[in-house]
Amino acid sequence: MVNTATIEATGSKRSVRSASSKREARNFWMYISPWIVGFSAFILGPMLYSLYLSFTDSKLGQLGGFIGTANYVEVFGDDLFYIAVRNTAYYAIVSVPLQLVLAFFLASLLNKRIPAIGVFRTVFYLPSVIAGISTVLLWSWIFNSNYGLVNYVLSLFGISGPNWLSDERYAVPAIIIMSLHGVGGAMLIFLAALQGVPTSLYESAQLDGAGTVQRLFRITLPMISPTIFFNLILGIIGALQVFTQPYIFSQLNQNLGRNRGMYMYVQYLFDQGFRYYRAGYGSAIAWILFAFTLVVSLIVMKTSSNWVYYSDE
Amino acid sequence: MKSSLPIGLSDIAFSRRSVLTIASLAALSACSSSAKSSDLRQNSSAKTTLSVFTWGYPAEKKARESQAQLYMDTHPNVNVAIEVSPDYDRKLATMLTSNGPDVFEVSDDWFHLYKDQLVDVKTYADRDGLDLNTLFSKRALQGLSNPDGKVEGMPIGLCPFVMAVNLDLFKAAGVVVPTGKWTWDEVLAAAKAITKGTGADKVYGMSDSWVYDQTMPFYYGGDYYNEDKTKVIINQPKSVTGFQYWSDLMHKSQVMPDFDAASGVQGNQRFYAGKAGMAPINMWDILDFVSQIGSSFNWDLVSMPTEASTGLTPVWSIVEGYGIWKGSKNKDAAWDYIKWTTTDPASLKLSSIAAIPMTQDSMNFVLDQDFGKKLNLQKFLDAVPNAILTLPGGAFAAVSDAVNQNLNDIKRGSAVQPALDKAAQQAQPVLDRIWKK
Repeated sequence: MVNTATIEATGSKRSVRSASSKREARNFWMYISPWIVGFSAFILGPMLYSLYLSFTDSKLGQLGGFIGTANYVEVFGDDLFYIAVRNTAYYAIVSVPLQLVLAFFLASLLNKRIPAIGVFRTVFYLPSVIAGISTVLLWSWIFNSNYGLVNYVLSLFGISGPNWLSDERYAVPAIIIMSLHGVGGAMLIFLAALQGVPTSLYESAQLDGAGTVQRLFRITLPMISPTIFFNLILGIIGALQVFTQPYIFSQLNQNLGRNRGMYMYVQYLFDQGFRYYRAGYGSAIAWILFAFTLVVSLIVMKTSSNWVYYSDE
Repeated sequence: MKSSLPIGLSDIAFSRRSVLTIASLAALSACSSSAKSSDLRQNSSAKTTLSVFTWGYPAEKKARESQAQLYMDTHPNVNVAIEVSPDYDRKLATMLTSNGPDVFEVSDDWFHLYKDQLVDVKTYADRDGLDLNTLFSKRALQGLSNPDGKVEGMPIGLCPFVMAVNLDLFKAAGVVVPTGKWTWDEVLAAAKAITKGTGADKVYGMSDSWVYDQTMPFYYGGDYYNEDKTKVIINQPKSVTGFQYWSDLMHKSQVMPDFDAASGVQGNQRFYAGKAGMAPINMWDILDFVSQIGSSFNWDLVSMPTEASTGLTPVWSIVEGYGIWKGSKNKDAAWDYIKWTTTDPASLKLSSIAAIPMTQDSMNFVLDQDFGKKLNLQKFLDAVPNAILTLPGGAFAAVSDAVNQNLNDIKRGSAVQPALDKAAQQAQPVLDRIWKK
């Protein structure tokens, strides 16, 4: 027989929970509303507008007429597009793995209990927080063909250093080397991940006779694989959007104009949209980049199930 | 067990407390903005505020700001809010989408890039009985006038290039500094005498400069474009002759840095360091030159060279001007300002530190300027009759970029004709697209 008191008590409890849930939901929406408003107004809204612009012949400041996919067709017929894609792909394919390896290596070194380890961690992290332009200016002198540090060191070994920033064969390698300067952020994230690996696993492995390399590949890397995945995705997105270094270099020596050897995709976008004032065409270039970045990210995410291990699995 | 969030908008009934919280925040921000608005209304009730947007190297910044100040001193009912921006082009383009300045600086080498955003100042000039063609020189209005008769702006001044010469290097090389005209043969002889050394320490007779890229074809009667600017003609014989001479300076005589040498140290820096005997200089550069060189060596100004075979002395120049934005709510006040800045003698005396005033009776104000060093400023005035208009940027920026990549190949040592053929081939479709739009 059903106990009416229980039913009543249950009903009361249900109504109390419902009121509490509603209150929580209200508070949630209230507190998240500033972000939603900001996101909608300053990110989503402009994104959707630029998507519309990409189908028009708009100039910067002047809304143009609808032209369908003409901008996209023109992009794929532009030689500059392929130069920019080639250089950006070269940069991304080489720099991202190098940055991950270097960041992990530094994090491993900094994961030791030695005196003044905090000082070392600060020293290695600092370059990543220095403003981009000043870093680029510094590197422009380091790579200077006549007076730069790199070519001076090479000359000590009898090697005549190349014209790093102007020779199309060496421009992207120069930017890749420059990018390693800023691995501090990824290093810090790796450091946090390494510190989260239980030492008992290493102790057990050592007892079983596992060597350093085995511990690295069987314990460390799998345990921090989510962090590697995170840094990989961020690294890919950042590499595909590289802009500051090549743009600053092109401004430093205006007699030489744009070096096609380091002409990156976002610089191509910037030139079309903000130097040639082709807002519609620039928007199409931006959306192609977005689509490509999304596809690459999805591929990496899809493959991650094969090599990323989460602690609750 | 915690409820999962969110429930959904339809289930939400805002509590009285949360509504009051949000309303209070909104009221506070509204109060502060309305307080600001009322402050503004109080301050501006007796004055018109004009927004003026310009670019500026140090000399130009000084000129524009002092002109604005003098205008305010002599026109107490106007407040001039002047902004001098180092990233002028990008900022102006975005400003004009919604909240453009009442007055902005224009350049005649933009090739009417903003013609649809500018008021026709000729209508105001006609209203005030000003004949712009007699008031200003022909060169002054050349690039600011549209084919349909519209005038985009009032010319502030002309900025021609002359040559800065390192007097110490000339003296050490035993070369007499020219006082009047000199030819390219004489320039080459001087440059050869000055050039010495190798590698990073080499002293060149001439610095590299984009000014030569722009003007060399003109020395032989060539050009970048045909007369109506619809065809790229840099690969035609007269233009090729000019570029060949320029290539020979770098690779045959080696008196000018080639691409690799120029990559390490760019033109003006090489002159500042005393490693180049000659460098093109404009009025807007002078303050930089004076501060960078200091007392390291003696230098002065001479004319750009003449090509003896043709008698031509093309001098790269632009005319800077002030235009009125079509969306301005203060067009009359804006017209008064730009008319004053470009014609009033007191204003032109201030602007002549950065450009040659373009009214017929004010050009000599340039000679009274004090840059902190005695210089033969007469050379700028001597350059005026030879001042030409080239189109390196503005509406033609994409074409210039396409050409410059191939000019860089010439700087690297490639043969001139094939490089220019390739430049024309790559640039023509870009130019076609610009006209099509």
